Amino acid sequence: MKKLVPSALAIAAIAAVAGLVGATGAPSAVTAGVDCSSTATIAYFGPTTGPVASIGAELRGFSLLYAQQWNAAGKKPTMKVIEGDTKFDPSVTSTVAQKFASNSSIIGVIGPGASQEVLAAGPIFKKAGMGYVAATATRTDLTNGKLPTFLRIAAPDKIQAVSTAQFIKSHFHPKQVLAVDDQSAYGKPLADQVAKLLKAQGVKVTRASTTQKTSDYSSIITSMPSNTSVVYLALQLPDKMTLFGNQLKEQGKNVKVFLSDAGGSGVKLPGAFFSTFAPNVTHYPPAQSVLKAYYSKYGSKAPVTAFGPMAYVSGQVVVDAAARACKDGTATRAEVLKELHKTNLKRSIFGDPISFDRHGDRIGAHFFQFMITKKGSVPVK
Amino acid sequence: MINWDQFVQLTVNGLTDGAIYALIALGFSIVYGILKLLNFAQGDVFMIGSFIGFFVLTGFGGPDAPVMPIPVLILLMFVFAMIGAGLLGVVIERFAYRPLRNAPRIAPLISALGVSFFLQNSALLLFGPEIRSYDTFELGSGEYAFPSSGIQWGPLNLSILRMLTIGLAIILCVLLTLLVAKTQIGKAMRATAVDREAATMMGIDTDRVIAFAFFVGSAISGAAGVMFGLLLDNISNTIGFENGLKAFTAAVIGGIGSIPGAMLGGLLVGLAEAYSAGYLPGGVTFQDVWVFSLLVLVLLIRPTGLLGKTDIRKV
Repeated sequence: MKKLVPSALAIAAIAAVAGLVGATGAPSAVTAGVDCSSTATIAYFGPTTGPVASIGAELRGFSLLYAQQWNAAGKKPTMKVIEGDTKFDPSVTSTVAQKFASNSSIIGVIGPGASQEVLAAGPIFKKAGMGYVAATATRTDLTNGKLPTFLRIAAPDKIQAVSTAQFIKSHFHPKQVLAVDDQSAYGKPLADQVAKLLKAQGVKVTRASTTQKTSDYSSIITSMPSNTSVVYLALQLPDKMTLFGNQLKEQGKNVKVFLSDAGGSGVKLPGAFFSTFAPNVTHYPPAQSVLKAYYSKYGSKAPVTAFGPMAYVSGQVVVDAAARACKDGTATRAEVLKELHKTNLKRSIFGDPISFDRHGDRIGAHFFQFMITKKGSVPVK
Repeated sequence: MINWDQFVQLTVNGLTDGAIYALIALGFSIVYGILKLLNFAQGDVFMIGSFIGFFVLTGFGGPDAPVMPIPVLILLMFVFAMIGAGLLGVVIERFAYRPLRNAPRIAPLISALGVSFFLQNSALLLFGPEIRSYDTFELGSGEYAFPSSGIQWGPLNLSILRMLTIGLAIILCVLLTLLVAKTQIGKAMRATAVDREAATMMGIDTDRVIAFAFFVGSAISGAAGVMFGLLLDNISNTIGFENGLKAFTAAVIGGIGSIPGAMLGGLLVGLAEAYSAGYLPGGVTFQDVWVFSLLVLVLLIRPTGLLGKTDIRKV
């Protein structure tokens, strides 16, 4: 019995400490400046592995590239990038965000990739005062003020929805559209918005929801109205889009397929259309040096979609802001966040200038439409 | 007013998915029948089978440039997956269940859950968390020729793949029934299932019989894994848990331990999914709710499952 008393006390002490730590939750903002006279520490996180690993690899490669070029050119301060893998899982994203927020040397973050990841990291970074720039998170309400330290390069879905609805209406003249989402924080509101806009233009729209674990879409396809001429897929997983399109063909459905922005990342559906947030930079002169550096690092066959250039710019924005904040040798997260909002890049690698409004949205950001071909994709006017 | 076009096609869709559940459920049933063990790792053996099929497919040139005729390649995928999954089943039985054979029934049950997590995480470690695609629709000459060609009769679209899936399930179910009912090893399996001790005293090597049952059950799950990949394209380390749970439900609905029951249960679960996706509110999003409601309903009306037999014990 006597031996049990110290053990119980020890357990109680540990529990008390754990309780205190738990009660404090996310780390608070680091107000003291960190020394970044020679090295500034920033972080990158995104879905490097997981169900969208193909996009994740491109996001990571391009996000880190600008810092690597910065260091290779001998610019000061040297950028040290700490990496995290969200695995496309909000709970993992929260854990990674906690780690970054707890590390007082990190003054700014590149990433994450998707809207649900932004939502997961948001409260933690808000409390930590950490500025973070996502390349391709498009959910409209991410910049409604609830996540004040968040900025993004891609245009929001309210813009994607308008351009998608206009494109579908003007190019396909449909009477009946099937709009499908995957119940994700990204897909459902986007499909809702597109459906609402199409209905406002007199198009009949049937809505269907799946989940990201759905493995067979054949029953949705069977049950869609027989006069459906366009299927709009607001799904996050490219492989699921491919399967949906193939099952349409399997059932002999001769419909036009329009995909949301994940459609530009390796979906194998020749003839399908997709909306995306960047033009094709493959032959754009200002992008050539960046592409050359990317290919030399990741191989000449490394896929480059719209995600990569957006990620490159997100890295560029964070590195530049961190460098400006570190001019006097120290920087706080608040200073970096302020510098992020003051970004004024005259021309990015996809041609557009980069600056942000007070909500964190890029000024002038818009969407582009492409058609998938057997060898890749071509822009559609 | 029923839309018969929709109904017929939904039935085909449901039977196809149900055939895959039925194949995994057969594995559950054969193991339960002989050992009274719920082998929760069955779904994960199915997942490993799908990966073996994938690596055979890509190893022989992939769907874009297969180095042999497609039927031969598909046959090889099945052969390798069935042998690989079968051997995995034998190893699982030898190391995870046999040492616990005389332990209380909860012990092998926990062990089965452990094996399931072990396999799922091993696949995560070995193959990564990303989705792998069979790219079945690239197979064959001409765009989408192989998977989409088949019977197109009015509203009915029955592709070769769907015919193959349903046909394979029926063939394997019949073969398994014949194996158990008509062969020497089948007789030994039945004897072991009724009374293991008595079977041993009659000269039956029960260890070998049980290992054989695991091999057969796992091989069938391996075949289901390849069928899943061919039909639905996308595989990952998590498909075993999801489909294993549905197959377990199918086995319980049909009457766990019964081979025709597993087949019937699988098809019913598949049809319930398809009809709920087509007709009920919430569609695909809530189809699991309807499937498990079916399970509850069947168990309330017939606790032993549709074709299950009451376990009579002497008191």
